[in-house]
Amino acid sequence: MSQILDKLLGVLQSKLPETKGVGLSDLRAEAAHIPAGFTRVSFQWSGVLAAIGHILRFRVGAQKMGQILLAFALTIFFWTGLIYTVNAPHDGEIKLVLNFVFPLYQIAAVFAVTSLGILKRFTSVCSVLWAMVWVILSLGVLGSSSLPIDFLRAIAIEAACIMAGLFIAASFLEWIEDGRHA
Amino acid sequence: MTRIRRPSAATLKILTCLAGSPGGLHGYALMKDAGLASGTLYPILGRLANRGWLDKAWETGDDETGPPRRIYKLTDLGRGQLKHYIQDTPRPAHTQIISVAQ
Repeated sequence: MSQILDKLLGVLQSKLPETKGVGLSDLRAEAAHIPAGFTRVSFQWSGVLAAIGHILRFRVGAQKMGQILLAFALTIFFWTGLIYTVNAPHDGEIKLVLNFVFPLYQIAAVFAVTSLGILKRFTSVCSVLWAMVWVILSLGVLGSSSLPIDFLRAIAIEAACIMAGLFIAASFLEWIEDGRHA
Repeated sequence: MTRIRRPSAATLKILTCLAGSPGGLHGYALMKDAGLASGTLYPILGRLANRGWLDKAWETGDDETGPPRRIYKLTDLGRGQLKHYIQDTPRPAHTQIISVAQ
């Protein structure tokens, strides 16, 4: 295992620009002096993860990596939510609401990769709309209907908060790029 | 003019450990003393060496087994920077660091 990690560190070292060296040659030399076993493997493994992080930062860029990771998280959220909804023994109305809510996160994932500006507009509109839905439901206007009001309120406030969080994330990712050029 | 930001907590830990070891430290010993992962430690060591805050030399002792390894020592510039950065840090959290740096 240790030899495999050392070879991997060698490969990663060759991928990093000389000027952006993260001390991989020093790390490899030091690893040879650490007793073999878990200690050495964890020492090397930490170096491998750091090197991968640096390679992605230098080659892909911090902003793009942030966008990809955000889209990845949203896609997982969408698919797990969808699979749960399909298999859950909920009634039709709840399934209908969930089937409407989850695709919004997948749309946000697409915007996260393609355009942070559009993602900001999309999430701000969604956040405001969901907040309005929550307010309307809280007023008790639909109190006499057979709709699952408590469930809808929970979904509305959750979606509003998640969309607000995504807006902040998109603003932060834009700021990373602005800061780089400042 | 190059602007140097205030060092991170991890950087201060490394500088403090090195300040307390005039003979220098190997990467693994430094990692244990500072309580940092190797993936965090080595990039910081590289940056500090580039700034001239520490010297890194290959250790070539006769009794050493295996390939040569780096030994890291704080330079006068690094010691001065450490003093500078901890002077405005609230006591008593860094009292020990200040005494080590001095």
